[in-house]
Amino acid sequence: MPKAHNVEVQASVFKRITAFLIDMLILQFIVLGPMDSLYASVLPSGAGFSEMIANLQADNEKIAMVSFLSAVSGIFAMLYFAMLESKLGQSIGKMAMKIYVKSDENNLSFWKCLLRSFFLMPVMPFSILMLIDPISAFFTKGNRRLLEMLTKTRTVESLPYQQGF
Amino acid sequence: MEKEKTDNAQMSKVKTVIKTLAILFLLSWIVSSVISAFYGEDAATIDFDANVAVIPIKGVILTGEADFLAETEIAVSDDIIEFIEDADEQDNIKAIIFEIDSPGGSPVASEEIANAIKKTNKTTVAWIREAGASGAYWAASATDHIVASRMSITGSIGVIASYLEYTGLLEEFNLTYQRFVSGPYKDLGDPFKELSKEERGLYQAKLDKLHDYFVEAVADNRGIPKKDVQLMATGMFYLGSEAKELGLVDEMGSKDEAIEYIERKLGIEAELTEYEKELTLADIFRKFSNQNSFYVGKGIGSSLKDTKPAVLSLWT
Repeated sequence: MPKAHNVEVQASVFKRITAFLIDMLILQFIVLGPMDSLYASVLPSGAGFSEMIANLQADNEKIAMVSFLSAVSGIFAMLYFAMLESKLGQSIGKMAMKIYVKSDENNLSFWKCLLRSFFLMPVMPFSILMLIDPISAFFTKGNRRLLEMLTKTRTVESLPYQQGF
Repeated sequence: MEKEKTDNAQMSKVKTVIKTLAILFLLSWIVSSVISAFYGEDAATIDFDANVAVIPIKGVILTGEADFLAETEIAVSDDIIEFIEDADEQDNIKAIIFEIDSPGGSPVASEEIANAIKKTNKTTVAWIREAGASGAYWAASATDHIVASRMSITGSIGVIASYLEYTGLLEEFNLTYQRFVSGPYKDLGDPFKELSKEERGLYQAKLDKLHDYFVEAVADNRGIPKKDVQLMATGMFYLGSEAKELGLVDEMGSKDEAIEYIERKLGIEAELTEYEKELTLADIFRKFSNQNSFYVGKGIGSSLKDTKPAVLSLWT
């Protein structure tokens, strides 16, 4: 009788993007919810995008505050991924899409997970990773992000594989 | 057995997820509380849908912050001027309503606010509520239009100065005040010595000068001849209805009338946004720290009653 078992393959880009979007929603509404009032106190209400930018540019203290809040939000986002992925190998979004993180060296530590999420830090010069890191997945072997290659981790999914004649 | 193991693993996973989210949420809440405690808005974050700014002038008008433990509400001129300048810079703001509920205050602070009001290009309306007297009236007179309730307390164009003199008390306790000055009038107004006739005359002359400045400002702002203002400037307060007859206010009414004036004059539908100064935790800590540093030197016991010597204070 043919034997059925699972095999690990690199997770599809579609599943990874969907998982990421789910995680962003959870971050926005649960983890970063308490910070909404802080952002509201800095950013003018009822303003269009250009009005908001003009308002911010007129006040250096506001720019500094927005940058600071963005950095704090980035840290919380990184902690979210690092804490869940190091303990469970998955964030909530990844659980929903049935994909998970694995280490090439079988040691998925907290610091590795933190580092692989560093593209979420919106502070120069690291904010450039926000663009480069996800895009790099389309051009590398096995669709690995730059930070995944650096930390020797990968995002995989388990597919059924039937061996037989 | 296998199923039980799987269920346990699943339960453990769920617990880990919930614990992680709870920890992060709590941390986020703590961090945002700490940040908001130290970051206070100096001026309101302007609502871009609004076209009329409301700036409160409530309490005694002063140039500086009050003591942390002071019971009296203070309208700090620096804060009010900052609000005026901020509203002036906003293109969407077409008019400013000054919500006034103040018995007056320092002449310098009152004039500073009046000057800031005159400098702005926006249409300005003073809405006097319970009181807009003395220095508060000085500021209100600088606006384009004054609305007051018929029962508002306004006017009181004049200057008051007072202090407690302790010479009698010193005599009763057989205490002597030793005086060393480099100029004859250096200790003018010192509560430990009797005010001479000459000194009284000098003091009164200063007050008369301030009074004159006040009268000039009101005459200039309201377009009333100076001699007419002088007749009204007995220091007497007037009810809103009386002030209207004298030409010191323009209209009886309240906030609605102030808004209607703006809508009529500018042909807009008023959308209001209010400026308010937020007291941050840092402000409170700083004031408390300043207060405590002073009282540690004096002795905590003496801080329980006001033992500051009465000093001459000038009020409009």
